[in-house]
Amino acid sequence: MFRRFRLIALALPVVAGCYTNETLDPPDLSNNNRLFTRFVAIGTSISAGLQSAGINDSTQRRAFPVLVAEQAGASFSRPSLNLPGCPAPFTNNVTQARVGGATASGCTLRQTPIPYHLGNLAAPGLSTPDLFTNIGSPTSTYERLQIFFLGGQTPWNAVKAAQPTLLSIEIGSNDVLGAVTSAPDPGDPDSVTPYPVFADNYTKFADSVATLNTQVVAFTIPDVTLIPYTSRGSTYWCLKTGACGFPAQFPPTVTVDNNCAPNAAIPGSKGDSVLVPWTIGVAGLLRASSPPFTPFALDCSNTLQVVTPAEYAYVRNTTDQMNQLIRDQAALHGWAVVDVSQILAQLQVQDGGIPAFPSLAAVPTGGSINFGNWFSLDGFHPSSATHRVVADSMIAVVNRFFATEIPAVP
Amino acid sequence: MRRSEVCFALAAALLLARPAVSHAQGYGVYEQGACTMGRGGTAAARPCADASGMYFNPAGIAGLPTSGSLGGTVIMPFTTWSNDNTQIQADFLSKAYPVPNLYFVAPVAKRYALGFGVYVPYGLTTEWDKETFEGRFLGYKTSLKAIYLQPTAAAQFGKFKIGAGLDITHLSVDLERKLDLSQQFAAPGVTFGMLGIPYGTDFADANITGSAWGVGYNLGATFDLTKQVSLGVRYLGRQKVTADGGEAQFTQDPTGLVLTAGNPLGFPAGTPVDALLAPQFETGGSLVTQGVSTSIRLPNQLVMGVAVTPVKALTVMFDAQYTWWEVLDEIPLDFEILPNQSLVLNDNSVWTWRFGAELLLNKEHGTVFRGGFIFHEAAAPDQSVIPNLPEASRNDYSVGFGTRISKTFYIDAAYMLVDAYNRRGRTVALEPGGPITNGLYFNAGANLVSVTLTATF
Repeated sequence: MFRRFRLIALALPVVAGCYTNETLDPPDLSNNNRLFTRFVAIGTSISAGLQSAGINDSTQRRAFPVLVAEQAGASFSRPSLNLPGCPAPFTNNVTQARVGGATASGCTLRQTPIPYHLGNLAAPGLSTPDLFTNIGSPTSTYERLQIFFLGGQTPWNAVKAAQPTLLSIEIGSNDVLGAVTSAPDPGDPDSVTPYPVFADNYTKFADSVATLNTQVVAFTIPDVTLIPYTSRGSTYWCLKTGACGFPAQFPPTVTVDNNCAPNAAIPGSKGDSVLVPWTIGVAGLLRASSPPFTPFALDCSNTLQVVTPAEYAYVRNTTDQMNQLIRDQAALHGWAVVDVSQILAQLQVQDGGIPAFPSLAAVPTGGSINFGNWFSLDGFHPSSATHRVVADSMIAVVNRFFATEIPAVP
Repeated sequence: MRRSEVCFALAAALLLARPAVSHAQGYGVYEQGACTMGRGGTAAARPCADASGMYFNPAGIAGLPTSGSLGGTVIMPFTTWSNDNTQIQADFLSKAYPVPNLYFVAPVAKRYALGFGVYVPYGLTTEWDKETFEGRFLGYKTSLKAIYLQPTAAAQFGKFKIGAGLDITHLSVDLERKLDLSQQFAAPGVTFGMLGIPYGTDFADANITGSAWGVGYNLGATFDLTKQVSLGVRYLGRQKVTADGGEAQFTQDPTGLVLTAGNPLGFPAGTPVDALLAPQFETGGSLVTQGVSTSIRLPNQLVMGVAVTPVKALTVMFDAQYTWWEVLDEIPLDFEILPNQSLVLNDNSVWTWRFGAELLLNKEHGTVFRGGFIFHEAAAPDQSVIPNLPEASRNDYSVGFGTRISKTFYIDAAYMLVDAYNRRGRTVALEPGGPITNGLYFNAGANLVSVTLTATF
């Protein structure tokens, strides 16, 4: 009997040994010292991944925060929108055709299951006055789309709830871009967030973020006058007259006033300081170039057609002021900073640069207006290639600032 | 979409959580007496002489003098949850839960004995922070009490004892949980989550309570093979407890969400989401106080034990217990207004292995030292390891002592450390395409302290 008991006792370790402690299955964050444990991005349509005037899961997965998170090995959920999108991206910016035949007002729902922890809190149209309220600018893109991205939370509340260990803040573009893209009045100063308002909101947000015990990477605001959404008035004048060293290319149905000329060609003209949105200039050119050949006249003093020199100066000066505030706040709170002007400078000299005037070569055969390698079909949202460049720039800054070893995007 | 078209099916989110009763293997209260707890729960072959035997083996009360035992065990559970992706951790609320027991036995003639016991063999409470714990939508507080009233009779025929008890069971359940707006339907086939409402948007606090009576039985027998060796077997019958008078109460929680212009619900900019939800909590809404009924089966148990006294002062014991947890395959929940649900549990029937020893230190005072070790297999499959009870296989280690403190009174005391294995589990409802587990329950277990005072007349 005693022998049997000993046998039973010996069996105990065997029984117990059949069970082991199960383990946590966390992402491998070894290249960033777990900095990306809860990586959260707050920002505009750029961070959200909007391209070609639309957004869906296909464009969202190409957004730079997603790429950075992938390189860091981080879990980073996005508010994935079903195809074709909300709204669907352009497949042709001339015909305005969109993915899946969708319309500009069409909107698909979020994919399920919805993520437990949302990393990408960026929302198209977000500007600094929206950071602490949902009802600030009732007709903006942000107002229309924010429920799909932030679900009725204010951006600040969403950030706070996400408990970030690393937060990227890419905000400010919409505070100035609205002036350039304003359809009824390009350059409308009223579409620029007044600097004091921007300063108040950004500072309040920075102070709030400082309470979260999170590391931060802040992005400066791009010079929106450099994006191919606009071309200079002088470029139009040169292409019309052939007076700038290349042949005239516009048809007779297009006229360009001499007030669009470069100052070097006609003293007193300010075409170098006038910006013409493609939605007005190129659209007018295309209408004048094909039946019924509707004449198009570009007048660089017509504030409803162009961003005037005064408006241009106001946008640039305000952007400079805002960027200085971002750098000051970053220095105050110990944030890393990604200087977007350096990214734009890189894009200007790489892979064809940023075109001074979009390519219309594909238009006669039914193709789109092309804004080069770096911008999508709407002329101001970055292409997938640019997102990779932005991601690498952020990775470089993070590696330098936080002593991490995150590899560049392949 | 108009206000009247905003509908609530409340389907999955309300009731995907399993009730705590299904996890009694993990947090079942086998500690119904300090004596038995000290020796690792081994009692089938040689129950303690303090009348608690009517639970561990009803045959054990045969031959006892008139006596009564009053005791209790304080259970202090602990568990930490860690989410795989966010690494956010949360702990059980640190609380102590008392579980009392009372037994009385009286001999009748020479061979027979009658007894009556009140004990709580199934009882647990798990509590997490109701505001911040990510699993609060499955349950931030789960409480179960199964109070057994057991009249018992036993008889002794030489080396053979038999006993039987009738278990009259009062079962009460309290499930408290938050409701997540993102999981509710804003329109047929469209959840609020699909409209962008973030996961984990508390909009209601649900409290589901119910109680009912059930009847079962507890049978046992012991046989003294020799003076040194005893054998025992005990069988606890399964019960089906049907609760028809339960109640579900709902309290609206403010979301603070505000709709923007152009929102897909078609409401004006600035509309508070809470205002849209408020009618659901009023007469005619889905989330008014309503009746709920369910039936729960408490599983049958078979315990087989052997006790050996190799030397005069030492007794070593071994019990093997098999519990038919598979009877808990699903639990129906029928609401008065909300759609009926059926909770799929799929627990597994499992073994528990108990090893115990008792060393007599002082014969005059009956002073003994006890020790024990238990290994429990986990009954819950991976997908059922949830905040209501994060069950895992576990090792228990116990020590105890007993001594006479007067001619009438004898005291037993014991301590047990429950050391659970780390177990993967979840804090979110199962969804098609979603993970079965999303994190780890670790540092799990409990400290138990038990004291029993026995009076012999």
